[in-house]
Amino acid sequence: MTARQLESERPPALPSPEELFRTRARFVWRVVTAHGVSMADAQDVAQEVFLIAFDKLKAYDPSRGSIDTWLYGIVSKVAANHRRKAHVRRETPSDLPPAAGGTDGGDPGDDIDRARLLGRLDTALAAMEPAKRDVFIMFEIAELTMLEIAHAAGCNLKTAYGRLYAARRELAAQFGETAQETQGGEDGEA
Amino acid sequence: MAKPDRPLVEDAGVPRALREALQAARAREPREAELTQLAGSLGLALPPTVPPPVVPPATATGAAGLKVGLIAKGVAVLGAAALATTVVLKVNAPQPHAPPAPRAQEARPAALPSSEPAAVEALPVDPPATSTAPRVTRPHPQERIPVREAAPAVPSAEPEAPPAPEPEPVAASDVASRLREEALLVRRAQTMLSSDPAGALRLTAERRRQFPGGVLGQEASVVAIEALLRLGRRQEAEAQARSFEAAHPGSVHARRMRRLLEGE
Repeated sequence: MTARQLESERPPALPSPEELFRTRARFVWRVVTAHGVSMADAQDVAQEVFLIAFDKLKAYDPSRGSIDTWLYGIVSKVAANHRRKAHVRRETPSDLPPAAGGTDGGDPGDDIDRARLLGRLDTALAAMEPAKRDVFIMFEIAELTMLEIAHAAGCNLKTAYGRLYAARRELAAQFGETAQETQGGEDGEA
Repeated sequence: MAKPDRPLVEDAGVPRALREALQAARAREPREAELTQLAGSLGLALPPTVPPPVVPPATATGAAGLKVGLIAKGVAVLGAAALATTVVLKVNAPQPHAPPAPRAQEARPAALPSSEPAAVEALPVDPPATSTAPRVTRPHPQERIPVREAAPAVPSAEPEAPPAPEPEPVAASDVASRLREEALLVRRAQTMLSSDPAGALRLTAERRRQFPGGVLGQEASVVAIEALLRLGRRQEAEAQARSFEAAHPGSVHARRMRRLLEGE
């Protein structure tokens, strides 16, 4: 075995907590809010996610999935716990951060429109079956690859695609469109 | 028609409203100030957009670069306390607007003492800090943590004194060990809430006795108030929440306390 082969087979070094935060904070925030956590609570939830991630970092096994899917798994659990709290259920699930809303000189009407659309999206995702929702969020919002997603979801690629298509159809219906407009693919749960 | 591997935001055939909603969802990111706050609450010294500078070798855990900040939820995750083994503390009161110190200086416990009282220990169970200056739960990343060398020999329910005028630097490993112990205590109290709220309450008092000026005072306050509520001692809980809010205006924990008092 050559040195190059040895090098290529060596597992990637684990990031330090600081590096993990530096490179993944925005990702975590985005995924947290995609799970219906309000912007007001996103910081708390993201903090909890990172504390758990720091705690478990040494146990993270790169061979079992990317760091993003690993973090996604943590976010998913923490966000689910957060949603279960009664006080959270009384809150508006979605709002728009100034940074993303372009309030600096932007048209306030645009912000309102975006906030409204986000509210619809969050409501639709909240009502979605979790397995489909996870695949959809991972692909459409977290921008993970389908291979990563299938790995994270513990299913085969066909099943992952099936869930994605089903989620797309469901959302298209929620947004007032017919199912055929998004994807006519199979919905097989292999 | 969406292609399998093509995100909907890039597909013109997808309903416009859905595309725009997804674009907005992808753009839901924190502001820099929020990231900085988040980093600070995690005990991280640097904002995420700044590459970490070279750090002198620290202790064996490899989690170099961390310093103890307010571990607002360290109660739930004790690993954060373990990370603090690499932390180098500065003995001082918070200096929220202090300019970031060069990382190399973190190896030196060199901060000058301050006359400002301790910031993180002002519970309903513990009396509020004497300062009337508004405080927030999450400290600035550069916020310094008041450190006591040891718990007092005699347990006391008296309000905690401000930091000693010229405290000695504390070894990082000692501080990490104490932080871990403190976190364990608070976590135990939190775990006991549903089964033994009276025991949980006792543990919060014990934490206060053992760790005056501890890092997890605010978390312990939340536990104490929840324990009081579970014990039917609402008036005490409300009074303690008021004291806490007065001592820590704007604290995220104050918000949680209000929620506890309102609904749970």
